[in-house]
Amino acid sequence: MTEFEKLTYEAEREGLTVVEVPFSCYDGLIKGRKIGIRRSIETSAQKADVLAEEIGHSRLNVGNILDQSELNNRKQEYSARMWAYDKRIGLDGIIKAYKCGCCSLRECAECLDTSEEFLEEALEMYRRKYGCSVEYEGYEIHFEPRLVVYELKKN
Amino acid sequence: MIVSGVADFKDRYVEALADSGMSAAELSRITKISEATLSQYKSGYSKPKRDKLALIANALHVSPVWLMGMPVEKRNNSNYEGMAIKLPDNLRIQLSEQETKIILAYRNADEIDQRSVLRILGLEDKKSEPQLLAAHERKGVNESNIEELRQKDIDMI
Repeated sequence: MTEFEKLTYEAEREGLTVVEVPFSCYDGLIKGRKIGIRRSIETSAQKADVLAEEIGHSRLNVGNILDQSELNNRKQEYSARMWAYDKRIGLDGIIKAYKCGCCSLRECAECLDTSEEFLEEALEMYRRKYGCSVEYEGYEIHFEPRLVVYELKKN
Repeated sequence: MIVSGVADFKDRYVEALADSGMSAAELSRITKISEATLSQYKSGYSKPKRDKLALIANALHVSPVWLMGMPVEKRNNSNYEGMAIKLPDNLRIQLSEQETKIILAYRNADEIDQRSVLRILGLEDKKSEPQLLAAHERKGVNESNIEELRQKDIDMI
């Protein structure tokens, strides 16, 4: 089962309907309880990235937030996106990729079944949120100058 | 003055928690009281005030008076028998134990779960919440009639 299929199943359990449609301007769109995903998105990993964000909207946002010139709408968009990064990657995902022996962003993305672009965006968000590095579950994750993970020694 | 039959809050709390089969973490999630505070109650280091006592009693399905240590019935009978919906006397209905459990579980659930329950039962208040509309823009679309295309996409679902 791909991550996209898993997320679709999860969304449907929450009462959302997920359909693939021939959108021209959007990758994903949520209207009420219905989520549309652009059919022509190339990989299922990219589709899962978009779907995660739309589920994030359904969980955290209310109203019409299409107009991103409004500050409140941008805040709502940000919260949904952060939810998607945590859902698809999270600090757990970074440690999982480290344990799998991934040496490049491409390998990490493949390991987590996500797109490289989405992973890069997530890492940038985590860098802004946590700063240069963060300690988590016995590991030290550095975001600068590039992604490095160390296992902390147990005393 | 020592009143006979009065027990310590911490003993009653430990007993009620064991009976419920719940872990302290679970109780903390339901009552939104931190695990550290619950641990203080357990050790007898501190006691809850009225508001927290009511939350714990409600979650553990015991009488708050019993939980305080008083020699009264352990089960909160009012939870099961007295929870009547406020209707004119001739229409007053009695809730079964199962129905009461459902209501208590609903009250202890988080907002997302509560919304799901209302949706399944068709009780969603559609008027109070404007319809959600959000999108993830596709990159590199520079058509001149973009507004028209966007509307077409929105109408598609």
